[in-house]
Amino acid sequence: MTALLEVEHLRVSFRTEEGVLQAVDDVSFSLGRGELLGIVGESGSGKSVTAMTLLGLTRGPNANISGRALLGDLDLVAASEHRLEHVRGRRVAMVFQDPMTALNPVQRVGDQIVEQVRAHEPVGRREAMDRAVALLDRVGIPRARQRARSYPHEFSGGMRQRVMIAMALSCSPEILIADEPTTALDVTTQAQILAEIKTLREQTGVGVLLITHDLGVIAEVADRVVVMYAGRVVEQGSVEEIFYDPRHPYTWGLLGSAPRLDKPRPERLPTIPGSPPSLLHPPLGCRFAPRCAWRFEACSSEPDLKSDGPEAGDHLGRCWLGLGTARERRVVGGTIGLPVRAPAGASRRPGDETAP
Amino acid sequence: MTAPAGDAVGPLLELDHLRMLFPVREAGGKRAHVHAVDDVSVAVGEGETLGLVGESGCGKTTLARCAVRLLKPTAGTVRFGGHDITSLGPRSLRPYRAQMQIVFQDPQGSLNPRKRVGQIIGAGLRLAGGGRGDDGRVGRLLNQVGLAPEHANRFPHEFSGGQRQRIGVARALAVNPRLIVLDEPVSALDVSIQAQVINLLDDLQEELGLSYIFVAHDLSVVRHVSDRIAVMYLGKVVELSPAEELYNRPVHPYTLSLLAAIPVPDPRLSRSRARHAVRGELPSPIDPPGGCRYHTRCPAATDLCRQVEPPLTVYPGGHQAACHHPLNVSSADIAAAVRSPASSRSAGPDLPAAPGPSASDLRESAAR
Repeated sequence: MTALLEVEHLRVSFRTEEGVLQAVDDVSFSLGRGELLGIVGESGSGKSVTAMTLLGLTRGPNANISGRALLGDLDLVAASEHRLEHVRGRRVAMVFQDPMTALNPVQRVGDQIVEQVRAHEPVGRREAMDRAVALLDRVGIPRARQRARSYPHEFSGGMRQRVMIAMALSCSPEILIADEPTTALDVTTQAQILAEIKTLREQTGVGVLLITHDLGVIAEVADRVVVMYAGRVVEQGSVEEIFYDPRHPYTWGLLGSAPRLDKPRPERLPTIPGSPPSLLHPPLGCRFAPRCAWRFEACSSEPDLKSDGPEAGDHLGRCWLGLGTARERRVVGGTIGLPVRAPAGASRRPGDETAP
Repeated sequence: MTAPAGDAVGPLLELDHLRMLFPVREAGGKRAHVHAVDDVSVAVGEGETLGLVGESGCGKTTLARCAVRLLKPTAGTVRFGGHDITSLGPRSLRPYRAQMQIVFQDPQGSLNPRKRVGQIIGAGLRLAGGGRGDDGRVGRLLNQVGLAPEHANRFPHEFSGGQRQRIGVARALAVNPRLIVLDEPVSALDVSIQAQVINLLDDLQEELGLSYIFVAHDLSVVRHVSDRIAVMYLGKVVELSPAEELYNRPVHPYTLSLLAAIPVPDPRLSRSRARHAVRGELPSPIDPPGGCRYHTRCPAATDLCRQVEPPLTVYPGGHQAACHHPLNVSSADIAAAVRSPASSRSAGPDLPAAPGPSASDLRESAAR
């Protein structure tokens, strides 16, 4: 698969009053044509900052960005603001979490799409409007011609998100970045929107970067997965590898704590003890160690993101545990998870968050 | 703590044919009403958790707010501990307020950012007539929810989302309530933190014998806390059943599609299972469809569904559902079924005549 986008050693930090906040720390991944890459992590893991940086949306006097993000031969990190204007919306489009705040409330949705089309392509108003109507129809909005004349508040949440997707597709982008596109929606609407994204990518070959905290969403649509924790990639691999052969204890914890409808109800929900670290003062060594039931001496220095050998291929993990040990330890009560109780020697009350 | 009451005393909270209509003015100045809750009857027993689920706009939050009398229902009665509190004024409600507390969805928005945690938790204590909020009690409450007594001097912004939700729980506990309404208490939290808060709520219930009404849009979260679950659709209860029953044997087609819409964190399973997403959109609650309210989106809808509202029907085992063509029931179940007293008054007289289509038939017709 030829890579559409090649992100290499991306680092983003922000200067704040309390010190330097390292939001994204050495993140690398690639996205192929027609591929759906999922980025999972909890709030503060750096997944949204990564996506926004690709569009130059995190630039500012207090931001420090390094690394490369190659879209063809254009480096999105180094590109001038002027060059980026030709990329945003045209080659890389974005769908945000909350469609109500991402749409202009005082402009008809059809006009908003027309505006974007005409900003990038030399087409007339009428032709652009025809394209807008075709797009709205394409993403499943009934009576598209009339609905193009509606304002955002006249749509339901799911329909608004469809409008956002139509707008994102209006210039046939190579890459679609979707940042928690279904988090604000009901499960029923979520299923409809995910199905829509799947068909679109099959039909148009657009590469999709899907950011979410929901492993269920990832399981359903992603081809490959990047798991982020505290600004770092802790694991990366195919969707099969991440769900059936996960390498990192954080991934085990995430898989274990997702409520499962397809399994019998457990007495207690498995949790990951503690809470994510502050990015102002990240833990030394492995960032997940303070919450990890399996930490040992080696964890005081940070492991590399590495493959377990030639047969592991592109499956990368950032953990000191050997592959054999990891495969043994990740099984808790018959499924993958983190043990509820910390092993002997760890002094911590399990299930409790640490003091701020 | 109040002693758990026996059956003779009856349920702690009873909602009887409750209606809540909100007046709105439509385009052109026409008066109309949002039918947020339309003739709903449910009860919550001592020490029981009732899960309340449905899509946004189905009336679950409104129902919960009527239950603790944050809203005054348009019609119907609210009985708490056997007393009718439907139309009590603010003063006469006060003794009941301490017994019914609420924890809100957004822990950021529901804590005063300018007050210290100790003041936030102590305010309820003072108002409930416990004299000055004494520090010992606040410290004990903080301990109880997994925080430390010294946190009383901090401000809400110094805490993470999960910890803020624990503060919200401590505030609710301060006045020794018997019932707590949890309105989407974990949906703003990260997955790993969600589980921590749910386990905490579980422990507290066991320790203090609390009753919960747990409002959520997500059936997978509700399953872990609920004894019984009510599924709401457009202001009506469409299914009410013991928790595990609902997952093993959904009777209403809407429940089936809600369950099918939840993504399973298992790629092989989620890609192989037949998707049966609900079609279309929620109709407007201002002018809800006649007959069965779900008929506009239901793959099994017939003329009967379009014309006659189905009554809530009780099947053997206590499973209730309002559907003319129930799923997962046998002919014997239907023969033994009775009309539930909780049925809407507008519902038709006839109970289902025969089992409805099988779940797999439904999936096929939904796929078309």
